[in-house]
Amino acid sequence: MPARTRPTTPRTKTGGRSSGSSDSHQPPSGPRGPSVRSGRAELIELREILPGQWQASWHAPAIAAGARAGQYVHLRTLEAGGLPLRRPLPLVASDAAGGSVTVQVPGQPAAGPWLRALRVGDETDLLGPFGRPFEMDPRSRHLLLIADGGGIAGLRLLAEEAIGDGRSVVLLLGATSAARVHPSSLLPDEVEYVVATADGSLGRRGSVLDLVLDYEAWADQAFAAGSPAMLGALATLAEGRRARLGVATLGRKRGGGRVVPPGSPEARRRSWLQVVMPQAIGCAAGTCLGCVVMGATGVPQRVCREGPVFAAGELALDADGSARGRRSA
Amino acid sequence: MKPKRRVVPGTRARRTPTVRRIKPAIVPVPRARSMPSASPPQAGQASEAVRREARRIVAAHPSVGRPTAGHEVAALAAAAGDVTIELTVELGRGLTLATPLIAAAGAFGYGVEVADQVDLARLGCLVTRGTTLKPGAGHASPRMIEIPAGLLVGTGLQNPGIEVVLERYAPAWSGWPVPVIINLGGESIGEFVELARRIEGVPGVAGLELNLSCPNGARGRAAFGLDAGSASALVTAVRRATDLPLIAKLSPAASDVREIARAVEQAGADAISAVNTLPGLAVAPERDRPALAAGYGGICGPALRPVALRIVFEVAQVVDLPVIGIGGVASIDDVLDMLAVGASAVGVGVAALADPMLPVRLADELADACRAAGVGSALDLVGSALPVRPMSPSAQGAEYGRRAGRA
Repeated sequence: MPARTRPTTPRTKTGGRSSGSSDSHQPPSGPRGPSVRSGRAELIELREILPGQWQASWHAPAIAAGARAGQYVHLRTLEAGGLPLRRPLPLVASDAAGGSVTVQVPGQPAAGPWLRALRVGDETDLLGPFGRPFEMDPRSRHLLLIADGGGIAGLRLLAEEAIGDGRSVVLLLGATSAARVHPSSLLPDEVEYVVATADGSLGRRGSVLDLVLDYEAWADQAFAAGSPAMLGALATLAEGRRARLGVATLGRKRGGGRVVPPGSPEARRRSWLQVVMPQAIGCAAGTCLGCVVMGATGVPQRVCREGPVFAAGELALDADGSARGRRSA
Repeated sequence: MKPKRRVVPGTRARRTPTVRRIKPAIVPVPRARSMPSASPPQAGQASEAVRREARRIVAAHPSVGRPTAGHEVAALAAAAGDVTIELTVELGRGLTLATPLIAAAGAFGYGVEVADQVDLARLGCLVTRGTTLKPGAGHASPRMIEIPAGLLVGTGLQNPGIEVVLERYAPAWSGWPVPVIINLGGESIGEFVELARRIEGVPGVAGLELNLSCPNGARGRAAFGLDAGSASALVTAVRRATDLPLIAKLSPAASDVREIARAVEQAGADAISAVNTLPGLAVAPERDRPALAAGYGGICGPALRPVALRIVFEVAQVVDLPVIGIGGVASIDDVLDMLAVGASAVGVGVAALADPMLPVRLADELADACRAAGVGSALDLVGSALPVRPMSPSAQGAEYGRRAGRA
């Protein structure tokens, strides 16, 4: 793994007024990094890490320069059948110095033939980075990363950033069988990697949620990506965590009673659990409203702009995991 | 009430398609506005580079017909850069589009979202997302499913309400060179009339598009666009309430879309958009419910294109209004097809989500296609596929329609 040189500690003081906090209620012409919408990028590496899962790296300095963990790029896969949308893919690695970005591309079901036909040196249409990133509280020492299936792709960069800051990271992964477990060689060495498989072929038999109970008291903050069912269950778990463990939340002493605007980096930083909403994203510009999920207060939230990372409390995540939110008239 | 004389561009070309097609396509002399200042260069005088460029243009647009001597002269002139292609389209009541390529409703939201990515000034016009009187939160997730060659979309008209739209976005629109048309939705004639009244006189709004796929509360919630009476009553009422250009957006679900088109023309619409999305359904992977939270969704994207072409084809034969062809347009060939079946302007929707600059690029390609075809105006390409005599409506059944001329 190349060493990271970029400082990744959140720069805003926790107690202070965050000047850069953008809220979801301003006009959608809101601020956007200058590096957004890069366009054509040269493929520099493509490898199949698991059956049907590729990791692809592009030379895209404009994207790599401003990218943070939790953000995504929007890839145009020229699939047969004329499917019209780009694919939102979370950043797995981003090397600002070398100008490269890496994402994990699921080959299922339609992108496979297109991916196999790609060769190093080919140009593909890649835009980004989009969306709001994960926010780590500067005082969090113990980070719990929770993923199932392909969700691990969205957490790898966060693990790298956290370890660069000297935090300890435990990554919990749930998979169907040992053959679907993300290779540990692709993760930073310092990560404690714990696996549960549904058939018991590797690690503990069962779901990743069984592992979470062992670590929830240890963790200062948790970050999750994966299936809606897991995120829903985790959100329920996080709600009851304080009462169950009898712990105080961070930031209580300094400005604990202050109202934090929903959707702000501050709101995510204060939340014990941050989740990545898995959602098809049409335009990444906030115009098509196809990716919208309902917020906890009934305000529609665009995953492409207000997400993809949310504080768990900001969304109406159903306990059964449907993550559909309330239906409004 | 229909005005006595309305000059509709493209009508002439539409009525004499066969005559126009058998004429040798040379640089059009009668169109003074599009004529080059100097006479077109002769083939022998052109430089090799110019000739190469001419061959490239002709080869890039095989769909405009086999190259002829006229083509070559026109292409040579075009390659030499001294033919201006006339792309402007009149939609009525003084609404002039700089190019026939427009952003269809929904593609670019309210425009401000994409203002930093898209050269909006080079669009013909921008149609906003569907806007209602009161704010709407829209449907729950999932709202969008990919289908073969298209999308199934059910956003449920999420919008901040007309009050907020006019306050927040109209000031920006009034400074833009591109005309902005608000797409309106409502569940009663009264709501549409109220919307039109509020918009009347607001700077920055160039016109209104009525979404006829909205349910009419007064008629058992059947969509306005399914019934000529409902559609006519709606357009008549809104026409009385506003002087802005009025576009009626037809529903492809109507059994005989020609009746609806005639009704909205009689009721005073200035133009017709064809078409909105076609209702469809997808099933969730668990097969215990429909995939979309709302149940039904609208089919859009390339999957809708044959439906849109059919409806533009039928509508253009029965009305004298300009028709905006919308449905699955993703390439210059799709644009030329839409023009051929009688559309004067062409809307881009789903394809602009993945490629926001597409409408602007298509406008440039259309100018190239005009040069390759040897015409000075995009309107000369309008209606070339329409039959001489009206064809039997598709409502009689696709398999049983009789060819024109044998009726």
